[in-house]
Amino acid sequence: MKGISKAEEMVLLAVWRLGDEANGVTIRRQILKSAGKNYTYGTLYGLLRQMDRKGYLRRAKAEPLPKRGGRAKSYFKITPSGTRALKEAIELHQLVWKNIDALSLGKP
Amino acid sequence: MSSARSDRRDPPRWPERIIKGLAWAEDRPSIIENLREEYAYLLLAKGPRTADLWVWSHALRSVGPCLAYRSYWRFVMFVNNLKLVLRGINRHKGYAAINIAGLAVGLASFILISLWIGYETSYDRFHENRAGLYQCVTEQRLPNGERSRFVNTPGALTPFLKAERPEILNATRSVEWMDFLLGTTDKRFIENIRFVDPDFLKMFSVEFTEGCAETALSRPHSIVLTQELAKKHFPEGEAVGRELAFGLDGSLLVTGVIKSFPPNSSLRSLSLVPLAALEDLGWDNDEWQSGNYQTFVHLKEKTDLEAFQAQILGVYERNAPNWESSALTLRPITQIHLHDLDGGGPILYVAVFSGLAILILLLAMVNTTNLATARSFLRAKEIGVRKAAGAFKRQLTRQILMESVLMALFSGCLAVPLASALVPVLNRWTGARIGFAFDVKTALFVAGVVVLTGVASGLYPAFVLSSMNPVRAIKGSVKPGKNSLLLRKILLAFQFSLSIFMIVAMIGVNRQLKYLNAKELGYNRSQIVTMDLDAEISGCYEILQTEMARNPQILSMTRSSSNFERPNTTTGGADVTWEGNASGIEMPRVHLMRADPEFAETFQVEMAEGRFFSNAFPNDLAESAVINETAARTMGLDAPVGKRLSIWDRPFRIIGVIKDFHFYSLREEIQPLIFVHRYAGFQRIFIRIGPRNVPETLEFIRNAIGKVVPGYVPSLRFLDDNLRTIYQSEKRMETAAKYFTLLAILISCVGLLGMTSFSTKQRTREIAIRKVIGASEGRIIVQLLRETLISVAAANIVAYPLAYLALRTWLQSYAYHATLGIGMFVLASLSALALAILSGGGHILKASLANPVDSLHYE
Repeated sequence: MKGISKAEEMVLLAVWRLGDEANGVTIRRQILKSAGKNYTYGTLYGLLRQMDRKGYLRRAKAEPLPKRGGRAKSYFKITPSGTRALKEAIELHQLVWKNIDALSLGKP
Repeated sequence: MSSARSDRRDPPRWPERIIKGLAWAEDRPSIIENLREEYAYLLLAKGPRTADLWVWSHALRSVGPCLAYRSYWRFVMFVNNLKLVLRGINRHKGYAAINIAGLAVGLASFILISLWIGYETSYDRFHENRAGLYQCVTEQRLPNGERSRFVNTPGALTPFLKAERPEILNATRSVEWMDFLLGTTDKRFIENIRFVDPDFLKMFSVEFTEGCAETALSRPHSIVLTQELAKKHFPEGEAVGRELAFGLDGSLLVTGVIKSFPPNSSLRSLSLVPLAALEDLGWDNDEWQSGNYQTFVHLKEKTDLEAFQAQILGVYERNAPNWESSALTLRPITQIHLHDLDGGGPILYVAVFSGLAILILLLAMVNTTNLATARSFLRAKEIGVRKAAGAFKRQLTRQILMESVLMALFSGCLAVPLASALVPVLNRWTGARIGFAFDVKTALFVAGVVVLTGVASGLYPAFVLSSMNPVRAIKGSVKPGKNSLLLRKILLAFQFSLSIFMIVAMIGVNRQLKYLNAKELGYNRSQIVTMDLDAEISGCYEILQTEMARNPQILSMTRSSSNFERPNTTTGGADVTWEGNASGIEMPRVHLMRADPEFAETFQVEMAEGRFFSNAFPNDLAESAVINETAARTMGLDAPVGKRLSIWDRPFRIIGVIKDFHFYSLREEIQPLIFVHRYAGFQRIFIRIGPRNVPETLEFIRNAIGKVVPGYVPSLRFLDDNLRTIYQSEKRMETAAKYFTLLAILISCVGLLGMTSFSTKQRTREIAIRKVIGASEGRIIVQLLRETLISVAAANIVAYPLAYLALRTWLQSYAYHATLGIGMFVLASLSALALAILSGGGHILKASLANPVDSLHYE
């Protein structure tokens, strides 16, 4: 049972949310928007590569750009085991934070 | 317009380069693409400044994570490779042992030689002022056009230079007196004293334990002792404030105690005395005539050395009337030890041994390369599978390189303790005093050498292995190609040619040393006891003579100005003239020796003509001269006896010609020699003793001297022992040559052992098939040995001319040397051949005796 780290969770969540649109730029922006973390590509690609190895993500190539020498853009897709890992992360999260509400954190 | 132009703008190049350099190879294009996309967007939205700034900050912030990621994976791969290497070592223990042991021995000797070279080149570098310290060197032009360089300078030079030349910060004279009788009233020893100006202590780094450098030499009758000397003379304690008897009736006050000069110091003396004390002995320190002084100067910082040298070049011409053919030059004190004034010196040995160190390391590296290449064909399958699984060529190369670096590291771990254990042995051979302190500098040096060795020895196998065709490798049909077989043969031949070269060199050096120590010198050097002579004994020499005459075992006794180790007083040119010199010959260099009439008898030198000095002719002391045969020849005299001769305008008459004998080192030819009773002080007493009861005779001599000069403890030595010290550096060279030859042979043999083990294993089936068809064991042995034998034969062809040239060059530096015979070459080849057959033979024999049935079962 491999758990995933907070950062991995964030990246995975972003990829899941972006669906077919998940490439480096969009993932970075998504994380910036939803979590306020300004990741560099150095960090981001390290995380992506790690999750690729664990099998949570899969790299895909889009059609090459319709111009001379156009490169195929690479996209990221979440795999079923990636979705499972996310679910587990949410469950773990809820488990850990269970009853915390009852402690009425909000009230001083 | 402007937005359209900035739209096409590319992001700055450097951030992209940084990312390209650091990112994981496969991610690189994506990252660059993403960056450009964001940049283009920012350019439109916020303008070029913000966009540039963003790219820069982004690139810089990426550095950390990228590096962390990469080094993490490097580490993972490293651990993986390490496991592979350890497994490999475990599986091929013999191979690994040979490899590591050979390399360890090579590395250890490299470290040792480096330590020694470091020591030799560290001479006099401990002086804080080393950069500004120079020794004055006098360069005399001889009548035959040659230049003679020596360190003697007149005493007046120092005060003159100090007064005239503003570039000089400090200057000192120095007179080293090797055998001075010094001591308290009840016990006296012969000591080495250095007379110096008080500036000496300001120039050289001398560490005081008692007293202080500023005042220690300020009064004329003071003396500074080293700790060991202080202990010797004042064993009961406190030396400062005590007095030591000096000369006949003077005394010196101990004003300071210093630490001994470090062993890597060319100015080594046990005591320092102000030069002014010499005035007691009747010396005039400030005259331009005699050259009894060495001069050292400390130049101010940023002095233009060339300009300064040009200024002082003609000092002698302007001031010293009888030095007019000489020029004054300088040499840095850090060169004193390494460079002899005639161009030789330890620097030659440093060069030779640097070469040796590199060669030995090379030998060991060749072993590793050879074994690894041979082994590579055994692991072709492994490489094939790796390749098929998608390993890049670069990754394979790196892995194999790492393997050899790791091997080198293991060897290094063995080599360092080995070297440190051998340091005392090294010190004994070389006479150096090296301490093996494993400090940061040494550690870095050793680590650097180890890694370099690993990389260099792994390059070729890495190249061969990584470029293997995977399909053929897996099928098992990869055979060593022609190139790698050829390379293997060449490397083997290289190893053996080096071994043969060293064997020849060793024999040559050994022969020369034997020759030097056994050559007929023209006098009988055995059974002569010698001791130093100084003022006190000189005063009672006649009493000593009668004392000695009582023992029939003391055959003859003489005094001489020569110690038979170093050159004598010399002169030449216009200072020597003679009757009958019609053609106006000038003698470039003449040695002057002073000796008692008993000299010829003590040394058993024969006369060619006339007679030697004799007590029957009292006038001999004042006006007679004896010349040697070489002098007679140089002077062009057919009948020299009776001819008049004048030296420094003083007339003598030649009374005899003595047969040529070697009066110092055999490195130089016998030179003209004139015996006269002038110009040189007696230095030594030589006593010829009878062959019986030698210990009793020596005891008798000691007692006799003690009786004549109470409290005097003479150090008696045999002349032939003393003569041997002249060739100490040759002796050291011989010892070193012996051990390094052994080492080279050992490494080569170990390599050959490994090689034959692999090549026979590879040919197991071939051998079996040959046997099945009907080949005899003998034929197979010959077949297998052939490769080795051809290499050894080729090695001979390479080694002979090189060894011959090297030895001849070395021998030619001696005026008298042993001859090079063909025998030593044959001996070297035969021993190399025998060693090759011995080290390869075991495996070959085993392979040829193996039962072909077993061999063909293989797989």
